[in-house]
Amino acid sequence: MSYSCTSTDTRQDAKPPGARNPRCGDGDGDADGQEDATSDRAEDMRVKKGCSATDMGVPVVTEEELLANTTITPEDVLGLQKITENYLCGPDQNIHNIDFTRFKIRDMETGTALFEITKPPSIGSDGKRTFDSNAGRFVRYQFTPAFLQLRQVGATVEFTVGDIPINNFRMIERHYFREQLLKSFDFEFGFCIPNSKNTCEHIYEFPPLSEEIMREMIRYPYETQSDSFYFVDNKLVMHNKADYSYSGGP
Amino acid sequence: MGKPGRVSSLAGDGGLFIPGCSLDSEACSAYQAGVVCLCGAGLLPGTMSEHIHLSLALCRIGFYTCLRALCCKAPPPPRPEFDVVCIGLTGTGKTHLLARLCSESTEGIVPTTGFNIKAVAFPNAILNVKELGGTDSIKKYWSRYYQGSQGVVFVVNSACSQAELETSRAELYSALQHPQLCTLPFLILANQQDRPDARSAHQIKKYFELETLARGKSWILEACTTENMETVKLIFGQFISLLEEKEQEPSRI
Repeated sequence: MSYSCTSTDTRQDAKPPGARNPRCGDGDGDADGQEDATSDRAEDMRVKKGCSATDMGVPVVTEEELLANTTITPEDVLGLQKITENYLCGPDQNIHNIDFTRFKIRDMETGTALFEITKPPSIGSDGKRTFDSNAGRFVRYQFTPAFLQLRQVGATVEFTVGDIPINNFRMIERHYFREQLLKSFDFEFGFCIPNSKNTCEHIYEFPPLSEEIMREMIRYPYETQSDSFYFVDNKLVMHNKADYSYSGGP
Repeated sequence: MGKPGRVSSLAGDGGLFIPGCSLDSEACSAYQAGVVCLCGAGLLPGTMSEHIHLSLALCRIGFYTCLRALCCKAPPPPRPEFDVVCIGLTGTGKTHLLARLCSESTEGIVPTTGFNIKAVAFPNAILNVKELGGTDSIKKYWSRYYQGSQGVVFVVNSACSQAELETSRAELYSALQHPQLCTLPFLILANQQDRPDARSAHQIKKYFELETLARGKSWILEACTTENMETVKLIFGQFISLLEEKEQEPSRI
């Protein structure tokens, strides 16, 4: 089996193909300075494994409805039924200076590293690390069909945090093929130390995919897509996107 | 929410029902689809003779392979998972140890300046480890990560200076007494035994006075080195037993 993975250039102007200019919620992009009282307690880190079908008990929402909200919460995005056309927040909402610096995937059965990408730090002329707000919002993955035969993949994400400590950092990632939700993944990092660099490896169990769906996913590259939503204290601060090809070629 | 276990790559219709499988016929959708089981052990009544050859062939495949390879829609029971926090002073080898346990490269490891979360798989359990950096600036935040832990791994550099050993002891005592950790099993690793000046596990245990100060608590102290990962895995196996025992205890109010 061989794997080939590439990623798009992670420069500032990378946008998902066919997307309009990202629109953002009307939310105030700046911190209102008020921490929710309940967020003072340390949240334990835990993974909530979503079901591979529509999440139960969460009202269905559309992207349009969410964009009309001041802020977007984790419960909001759990109601989304398909990939969003636009980013649900702008780069300016990342007030905590969260920066993803490395991403790696390995096959858990063999331990083989499948893919790794590191983002070089951007250093300004004053020697300080500049905040590169638009970088890395979109990645395009190119895998061979063999990738779909994997059962468990370990995905490691490395990220840095700015001066402000984060009480409750949470990620919700949703993978779709066309308009079918394949898998929803929910991970609470909890507290993040200011000026820290952190890694997290989560294990993706491939959802059971019928031969038919796998054939379609291979046949139609980039119709498998994902939205990664990041929340601090239950407010959306970052939104990244990716799409996937399993046909082995560009 | 239950954690999904390993799922067979075959899905959808056309699966095979395995007698002796933990699912009853109502739960197994393949059975409902009217598919006859061809798994060797225990042919269903009324099986046609032409299936016998095939079923004998399948008998040769071990039962385990049968369970894995053939579709029974629900996965076998997954391994139990435990949330564990891993602490210790900087330079004691925490990141290195975890990387080796995950069969990952240790190239380019630098002092951790935050947390590293990893799921480490063992034959009979998975440990979700939160490893925390041990530099002065990071260790003051350790207690922010204690909530939800089911066990503690505390790593010591067996060849450290006396001053460092004293600091290690203080941190260990702090952890042993912390309200969120004080009832949990502790695994204390006298790491870096490969160093010529490494103290023995016995010396460290004595210095830490665990026999008295950790009395009544559940703990193990063992010597180890990443040069001998087999021993490391055995030690973690013992720790997992402690975690399982703890889990089975009735919870106290």
